Amino acid sequence: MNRLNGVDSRMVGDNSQSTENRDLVPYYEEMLRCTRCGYCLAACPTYEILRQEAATARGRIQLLRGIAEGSIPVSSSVAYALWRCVDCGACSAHCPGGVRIEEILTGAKQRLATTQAMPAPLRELAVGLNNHHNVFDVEERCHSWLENMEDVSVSDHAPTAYFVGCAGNCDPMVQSAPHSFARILSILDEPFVLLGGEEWCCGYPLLAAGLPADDLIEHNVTVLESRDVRRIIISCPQGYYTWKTSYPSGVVDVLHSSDFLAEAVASGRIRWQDPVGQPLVVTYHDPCYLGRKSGVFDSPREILRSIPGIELREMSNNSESAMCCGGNVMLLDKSLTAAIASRRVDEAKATGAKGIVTSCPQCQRILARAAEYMGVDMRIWDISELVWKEMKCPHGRYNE
Amino acid sequence: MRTKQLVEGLSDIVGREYVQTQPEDLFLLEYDASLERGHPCAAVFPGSTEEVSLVMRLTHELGIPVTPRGSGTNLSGGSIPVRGGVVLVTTRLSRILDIDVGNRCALVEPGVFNLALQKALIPLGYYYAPDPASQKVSTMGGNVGENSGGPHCLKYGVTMNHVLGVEVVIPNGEVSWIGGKAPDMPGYDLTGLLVGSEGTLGIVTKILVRIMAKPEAVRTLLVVFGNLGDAGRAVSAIIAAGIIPATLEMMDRTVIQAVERATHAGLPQDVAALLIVEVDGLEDDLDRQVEDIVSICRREGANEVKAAKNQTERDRLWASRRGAFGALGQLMPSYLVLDGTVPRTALPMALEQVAEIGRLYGLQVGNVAHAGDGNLHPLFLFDPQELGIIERVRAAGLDILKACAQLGGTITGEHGIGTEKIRAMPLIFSQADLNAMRAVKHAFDSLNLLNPGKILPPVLGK
Repeated sequence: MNRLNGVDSRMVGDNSQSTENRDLVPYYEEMLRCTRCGYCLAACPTYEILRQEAATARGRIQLLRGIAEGSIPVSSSVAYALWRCVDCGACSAHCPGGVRIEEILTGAKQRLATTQAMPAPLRELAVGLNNHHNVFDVEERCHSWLENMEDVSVSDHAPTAYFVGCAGNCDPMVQSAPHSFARILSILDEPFVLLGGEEWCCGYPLLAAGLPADDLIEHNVTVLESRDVRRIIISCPQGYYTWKTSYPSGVVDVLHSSDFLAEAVASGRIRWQDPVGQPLVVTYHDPCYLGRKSGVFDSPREILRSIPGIELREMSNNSESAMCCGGNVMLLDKSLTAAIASRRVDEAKATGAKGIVTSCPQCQRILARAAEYMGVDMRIWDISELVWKEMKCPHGRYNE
Repeated sequence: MRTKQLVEGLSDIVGREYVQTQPEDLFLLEYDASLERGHPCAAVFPGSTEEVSLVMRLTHELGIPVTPRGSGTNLSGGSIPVRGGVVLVTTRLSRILDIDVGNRCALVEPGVFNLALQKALIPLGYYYAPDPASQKVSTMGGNVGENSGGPHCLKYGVTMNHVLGVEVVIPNGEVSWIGGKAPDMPGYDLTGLLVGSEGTLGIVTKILVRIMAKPEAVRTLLVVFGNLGDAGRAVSAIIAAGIIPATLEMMDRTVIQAVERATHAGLPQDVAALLIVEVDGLEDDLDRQVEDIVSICRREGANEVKAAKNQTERDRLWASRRGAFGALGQLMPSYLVLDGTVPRTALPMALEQVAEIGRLYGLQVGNVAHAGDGNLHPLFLFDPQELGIIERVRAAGLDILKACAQLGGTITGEHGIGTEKIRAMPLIFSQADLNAMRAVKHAFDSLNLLNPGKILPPVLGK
């Protein structure tokens, strides 16, 4: 090791070091801006559980520096540490130096995705997505909730499409969320298109893994254009973010379902039933991609506060500092996801709430499984389900 | 061979999954928040006092150095394995074992984050006074090792004023309890000796700390100065008037700009310095204290005094102060933070000398200070890619410590000596002083295996 007064030259960015791996790690200059203060450790859900430096933004950045400077080789365990990040963005929000952590990590993933080091489950994900066009790699039967839609009027062509997202489409555990939202649209006489099997994954899982998603993006754009869609309402926060940041701009306007609902509440299109009995105490879980990454904190809360039968109690980590559900590492480390989700359920429980409301079918399914496993008697709601339950229906309710 | 024996032995004690030997894992234990670096041959994550004890007995038998580490936020190289050997990571020992309101104390394991303890105490109406800026992530074990301070230590004292007792594993593996809930322990004050010993005498595995009831009321003021010296003079004027605020923090222009870019806290720009003054106590007392502070500050040249209107404004202000070091990354890729203390009245002169040393070495310098304690944190900002810059920054740092010593102060307030400031030890200690300390070290650790290469300069001629 090249030392100088006890200071490793790697620490001082000695240019004479081998640079052969610099191209694997873009944003090298940005990495140098990490002062290793360690404040990101406190924010990281993976560190909270694993308590190892490799499970922190600081550690992941230092590993990449080590690769860039030739101090450590590219290995599957480095890659594993890099991809075992929940991509929640809490580290960036806590970084006093404003280091662009997510850009560093994503940039490195894109380069390392071309090497053998990439974890196998992620390579398999790419194959599965190209086969079945959803992240769960199952047949199109996963759209089965659409078979039960006699109470919903759907158009073939309309200016608005409801883009459901993989979790809502494919996991029976949370299919009542899109079903509720479709019913709400219908009862509001809002003409909308449902794409069914023609709705492909937005591409987020690939982009987050550092892989291209051009085919999925191109398909979705083409389908929407063929249906004359000018606006999509989307329930999946990752999808919302991906449409906003990785799709060609100007194709469609993109709205999250919670923003749509908040607007409908504010304008009086949605009214509430008269409250019955004790108010239901709930807490709200901010999905990372809707809250921290897209800045949508208020809409869901405005909705909840407007419902007469609901009392909202915040968790100690909420809004900008909300803790992730851990869903994004499920493919790589199920037990890590379960442990992170359990912490979140514990935090929710501590508020005394009887239910957790969220705006993300993925968070919903992760938290619901954790609560079930923990034996915690809390219902996990998607906000659409709660709105559907509490809203006044002018023409009567189709079915409960 | 010895390494193989070590790894097998460690694995027998804690289980293979809690022993790290892979190069990429060890690479991540080479650094902390300082500029120092050192390479371990293994890392171990014990889960109990017994495991710590067995690890220490094993390494003692094998003659292998051990360096304790919590979150690795140390600012003087204290958690760096400069002699190699084993890094003993305390992060699995992270339980709050007991909160005893009747005896006003709490028992915690060393891997508990300072803030985690604070959060556990809030619902009870209590708090733990030492609040280092890194409290979100720095561990209680590290706080004990470094005798950490923080903004609120002006009125309430530093870590050593709040540790009532510790369970400690000494280098040969023996476990002892020192101190306890009963006040006035007879015999030598070994608790006092261990607090601030930077993990060189023993590894604390349980810590009994004093907790305090939250004050009834708090007022937080932001005082703006057009001149750094005026801000320094206002600090001693406030104390001289008989007021002891809970905090008296200072930031200079460079730091204010960096912090504002990072946190958007709404700090005033284009000012020379600002003080964050917080008073706490009984509601009825505070208005008069605030009036006195405002009039003293105005007399010393303050341009503006703003009071935080509510908890949100107060939190925002403190977030800006706590993020100050890291925020300097907004201005330059790297920095060296210094930690010197002078008698409070010498603060204006010390700040002048810091500026002068910065000019002399051609370095951009920012200042954060626990001004009420006369504890300065000058920060040299630099680009690590510049050739020879590290030597220049270090030389400038040593000059600042010299200046502090000459002003009747000392070379650290709270960040410790570590490896970074060993060369500065003779500035404040004679050979006889240092020999006395070496004798203490020898009494605990005759083989010099626990966190070697820290605090004490090597004996001349060796």
